[in-house]
Amino acid sequence: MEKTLAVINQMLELGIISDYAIGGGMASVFYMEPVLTYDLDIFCVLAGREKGLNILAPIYKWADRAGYKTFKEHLVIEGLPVQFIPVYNALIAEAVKNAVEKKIGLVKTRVAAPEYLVAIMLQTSRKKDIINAGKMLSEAKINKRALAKILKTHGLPAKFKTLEGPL
Amino acid sequence: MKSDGGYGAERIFDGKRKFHKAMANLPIEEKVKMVAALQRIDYSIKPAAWKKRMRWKAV
Repeated sequence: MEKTLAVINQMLELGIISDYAIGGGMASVFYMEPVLTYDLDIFCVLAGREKGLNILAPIYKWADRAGYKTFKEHLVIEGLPVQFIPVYNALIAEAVKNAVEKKIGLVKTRVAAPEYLVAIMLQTSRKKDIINAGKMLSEAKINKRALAKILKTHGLPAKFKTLEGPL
Repeated sequence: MKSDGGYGAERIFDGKRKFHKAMANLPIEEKVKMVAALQRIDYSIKPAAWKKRMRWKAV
């Protein structure tokens, strides 16, 4: 994990990506008890001008030069399947911008804040997301005022009510 | 419902909540190792599903 994150930090330094935050299941592991997850999701802001289907081209070009292979939709970086997900909406962009700096061993990294993770889980609303959002609310230290603001901005209070009731 | 004074179900669920919170507060390095262990368990239960997945070689 540390080696993988060090490589991702290197991508940031090289300008392949201009910002990132760990998202998905692995991000939630930073705040709650470990859950089964299969990959490392990286929400990223891309530095290049590519759009549409070519948006990830700079990452794959860099990976090819660096000798990292692909597995399905993942890049295998130092033994870990990593999925780069370009920011695709305002909520994800905000989550990346307001990511929290964390450390694994000696490596610094950026992780989406728990309030954003709950909001993202509510937005995606898969069965496992709803379960993990509930777990996150009971196990993680959540700033409820910040969460309420995020939910309101992104039109999610109604979905939250189905989870816990009004804030 | 009349309380059982904390010696029955309430106590069990309170204990479970404390356990989950304790797990949540473990160092991230330990939690990453636990994710890898969960993957090994999942693989042993449903190996066919892992044909489209990749186990983490390095944690």
